[in-house]
Amino acid sequence: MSEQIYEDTSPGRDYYIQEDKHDLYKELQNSEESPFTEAELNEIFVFAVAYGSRKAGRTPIDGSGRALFNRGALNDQTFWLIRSIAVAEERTTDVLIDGKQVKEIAEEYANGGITELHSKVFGPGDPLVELSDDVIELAQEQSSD
Amino acid sequence: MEREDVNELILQKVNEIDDDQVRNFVEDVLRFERAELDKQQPHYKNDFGDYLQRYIDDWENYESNN
Amino acid sequence: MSRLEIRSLTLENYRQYAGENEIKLQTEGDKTVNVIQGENGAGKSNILNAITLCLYGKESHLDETKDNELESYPYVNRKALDEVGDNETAEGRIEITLGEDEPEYIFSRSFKTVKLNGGGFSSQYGDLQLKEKRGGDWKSVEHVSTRLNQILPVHVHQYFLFDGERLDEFFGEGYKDRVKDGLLDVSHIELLENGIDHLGSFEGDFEKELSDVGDAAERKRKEYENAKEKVNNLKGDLDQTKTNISDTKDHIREIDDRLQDSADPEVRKKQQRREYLTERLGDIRGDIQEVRKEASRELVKAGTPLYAVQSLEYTLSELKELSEQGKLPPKIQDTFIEELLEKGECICGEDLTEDHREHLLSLQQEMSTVVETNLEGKMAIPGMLQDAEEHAETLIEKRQKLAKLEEKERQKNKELNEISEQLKAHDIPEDVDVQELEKQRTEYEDQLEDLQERKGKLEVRIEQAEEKRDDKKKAFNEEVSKEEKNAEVLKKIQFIESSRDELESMKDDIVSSVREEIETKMDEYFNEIIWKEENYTVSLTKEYQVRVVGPRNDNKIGSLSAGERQVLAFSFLAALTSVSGFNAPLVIDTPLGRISSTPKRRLAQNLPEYINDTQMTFLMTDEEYTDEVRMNMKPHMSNEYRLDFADEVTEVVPYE
Repeated sequence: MSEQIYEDTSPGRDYYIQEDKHDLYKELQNSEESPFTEAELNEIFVFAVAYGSRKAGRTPIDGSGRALFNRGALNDQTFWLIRSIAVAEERTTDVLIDGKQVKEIAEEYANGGITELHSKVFGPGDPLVELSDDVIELAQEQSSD
Repeated sequence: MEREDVNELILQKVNEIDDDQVRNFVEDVLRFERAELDKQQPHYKNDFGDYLQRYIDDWENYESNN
Repeated sequence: MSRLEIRSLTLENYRQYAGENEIKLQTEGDKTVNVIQGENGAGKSNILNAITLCLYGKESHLDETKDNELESYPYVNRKALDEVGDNETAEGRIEITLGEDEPEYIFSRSFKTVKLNGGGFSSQYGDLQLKEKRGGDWKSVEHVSTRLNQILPVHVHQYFLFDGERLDEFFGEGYKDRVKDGLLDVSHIELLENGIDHLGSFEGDFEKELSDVGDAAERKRKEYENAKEKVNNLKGDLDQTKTNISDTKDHIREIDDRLQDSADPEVRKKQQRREYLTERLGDIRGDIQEVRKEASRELVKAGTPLYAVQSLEYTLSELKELSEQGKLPPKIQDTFIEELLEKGECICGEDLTEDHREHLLSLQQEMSTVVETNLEGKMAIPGMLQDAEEHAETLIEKRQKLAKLEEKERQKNKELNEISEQLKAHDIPEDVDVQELEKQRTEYEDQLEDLQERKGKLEVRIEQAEEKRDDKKKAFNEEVSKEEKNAEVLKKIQFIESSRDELESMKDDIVSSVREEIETKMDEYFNEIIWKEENYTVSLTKEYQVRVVGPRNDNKIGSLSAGERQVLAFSFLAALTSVSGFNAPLVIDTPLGRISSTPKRRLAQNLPEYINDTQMTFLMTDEEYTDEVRMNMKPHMSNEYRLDFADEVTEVVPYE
């Protein structure tokens, strides 16, 4: 049981990214080299949340945010992914009461994650090969647990 | 035989335009283009101006940028 | 619906046709087929040549064969030439009457041949003339080509008037461009493109009209103009680059043709092998793109939960713990609690004491959304992890497939390089300088690679520049709209812009639906005509790649027989014409040439139905026009002729 008391809040409908990182999302969606050309912006966001939780870190949004999509675009599974990130961050399920904080944690991981992901995709090497090698390894670790 | 008309496919798509004024304008423009297809430099501005005049007064200017 | 037909074709002193020969071709009802049977030397192909010479100033059969004999063959018939002296001219003409239910257009072109002193000939042809029937009178038309373009434009005519024997080459190397051109041609996309261009310029005029609101707006206008110019410059660059690409490809093709003509059979063999490999390489690359896309999809689906696996597992264990501690019973619902209260039992199984009862009731009350959703989590998370594992497995499969394809690509490339090296080392002197050509070819290939890279980069830059331009435009409009008197002009600009946007999105939609429709028809016709037990799936991708997938193989345009390729090309052209919305007659020389018996029979039977309501004139050899084919065509036939060739003169005679 954590010592922190969480306030009962409702999150807003929109998910925000840092204004100047919108281009990163667009490039990931539009560039031929990117494995994300068929993904929606919200899918890239959630991937960035996950990627950020593993490879980058939580990076607060600098300046005013810019809405990328609204909660209607997400399904139950995606919500649970976002919640899990918050639960693991705060080491308690109590944080789930504070909807605003849950969303904020996800947004900040996405903020760090998207920059890292963008460098990965547009850096040297074949992003499809490198990212899928990564993911396959994670899957193999997982199934051997 | 009448002057050849704009391709069926295109006319179908034109009919799908919601906005009445825009749709009529587009149709006029395309008919013009069809008739002038062979010309290198068709003098379109006068005709376009005429078409525009027909519809612009009734057109509702929606500010939406989607 | 009435169809536009060739009502008659008149050949006067044209090549083998002495004097005036009028061939009536109009059809009745649903008997849309005409057949003219004759051998090649008898002037069969010249019937098609006559039509294209008259309408477009070129003889299609001649362009494509390097038949020197025909080149020196004068336009004017020999007999007519015999009747004139040296340095004198003999004349002839070709006339085509077109119309629906009655004659409406008479196209004619005359030509002449001078008999030269030394025994040679020099021919030339005149302008295309047109008489059109208006209100009962025949009137001369001034802008003939405009009129012709409305009926059967130059760039579409090859889909209606063509040589069947060249068909199997259609799907040879470089077919994607041909397919793309065909598709765009029949979609009439240029109408939309012209509209978009012109509206853009029209809009520009209004933008200039906007009176200035002071420095701020002028600055914004300048920025906007600059951004516009940048886009235009980049587009100009792109067009130039595309032209350069096309030219370079032509150069390479020329060299390929010359290598094909080498006297050395080894060289010819290598060149042929190279062409085969290049085609296969194209297919493999297409497949690689496809598999990469599929792998990318799996990556996104698997990667999202897997990168977050630690968080997911932690959360799951937390939820499980809560559940075990009784804070989150497995499937507690309002009704369940009700049941327990009724039964007098607690969740833990013991009898309901007052404490237990109070506990249950308070649980019921505390049932907040958070608790309910926490229950979902316990089930959603394992589901996610399970899905992730499955997607990861599929991802592994795709990667393996990709690796195999890339290996094939490497092999083919290796072999291609070897061929090139071998040809460069070729030092047997002959009339075709193989070494030199091969060197040039390699240079062109390198150039082509650079150009294509440049093209890709330009396309990206153009997209970015267009976005920037749109932003600047918005900013400018915002400034300007602050002034009332500009409101009207702004309104016009926005109207024009909305119209342009509609045209742009129509363009994409149309190309996409045309492609789908052509794909569907191609698949239908191919399977119908080929008539094998197996079902083939013919598909046409967004990149204009044609894939033929049979039950035993995977995308094997390369391994179709010549006859099968001919049928495929036929299916494509039939699909094109039926989708095109052009109501023009078809004239096909040697339609059944290389096709084996079953497909031949089915073509003969079914073609009039596939391309219904279109007049079809077939020029066939004796071998094609078998009794069986004749029997199959009879129900649809209106006119049937034979070419009688004797003494260098051909006469067109009714068949029986």
